[in-house]
Amino acid sequence: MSLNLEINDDARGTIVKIEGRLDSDTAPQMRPVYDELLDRRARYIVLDCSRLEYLSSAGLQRMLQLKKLAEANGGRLVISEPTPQVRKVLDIIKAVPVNEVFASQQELDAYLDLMQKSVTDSSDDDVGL
Amino acid sequence: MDRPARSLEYQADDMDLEAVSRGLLEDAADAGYRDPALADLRLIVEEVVTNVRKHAQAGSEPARIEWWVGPDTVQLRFVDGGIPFDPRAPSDESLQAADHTTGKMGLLLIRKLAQSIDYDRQDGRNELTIVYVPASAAPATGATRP
Repeated sequence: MSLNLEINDDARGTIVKIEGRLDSDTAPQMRPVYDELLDRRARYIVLDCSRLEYLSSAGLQRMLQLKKLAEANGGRLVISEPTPQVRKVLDIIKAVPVNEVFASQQELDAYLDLMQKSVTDSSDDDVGL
Repeated sequence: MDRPARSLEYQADDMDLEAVSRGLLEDAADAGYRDPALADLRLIVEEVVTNVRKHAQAGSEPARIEWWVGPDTVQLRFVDGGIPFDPRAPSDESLQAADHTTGKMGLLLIRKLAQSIDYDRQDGRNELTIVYVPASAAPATGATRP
């Protein structure tokens, strides 16, 4: 099975939908995504893994490159709706904090709303100073 | 019913992951294995052959994977002529951020998914034997799974 990638922006950040298998054969296909998000200076990146059937260390390393990119831009990478196999790999490696992996869209939305509010409040404080 | 061992030779420096794992996964499926066991087996094979490729030496003989599928256990044996490489070490299982390389993450996955791992160096070849037991077939205590 191949890998399908889709990038969309919405109010919450940049959503990268990953579908298929992200392994040593398909991981190089993530490179254009990295370049695209680098150009966009993406801060909040959501990896939608609801249709990612299989993840190996080669694929996880590509995800971690996106995590570094988001953090370098002052943002964060979160993972949404991992399938059981993806969740198992994440649980073993522990490269992504548990509180940045969301089992449902509702959980993710609540978290991102909180993040947005935090950023807004922080900006308000800066103005006040 | 137990099945006889099967094997496949492949070029370590030019391997097709899909092709290397296909026979094993077909045999395991025929024997009644389903996900997550099939995904575990695929992951173990990918992580091992990726390491074999990394440590391959130019001009070395083809690498080989052998598999034996039993009702509750799958035994895998990987043989390659690469530089000596014992995947059991180091034993540290708490990777720091700097350790998040494909190789180290792959080794951790193998150690966590395998029931047992044995390594030997014979006649200039790495010989790695991995026993996999699906979680549903593991003893109720769970004490044997690393």
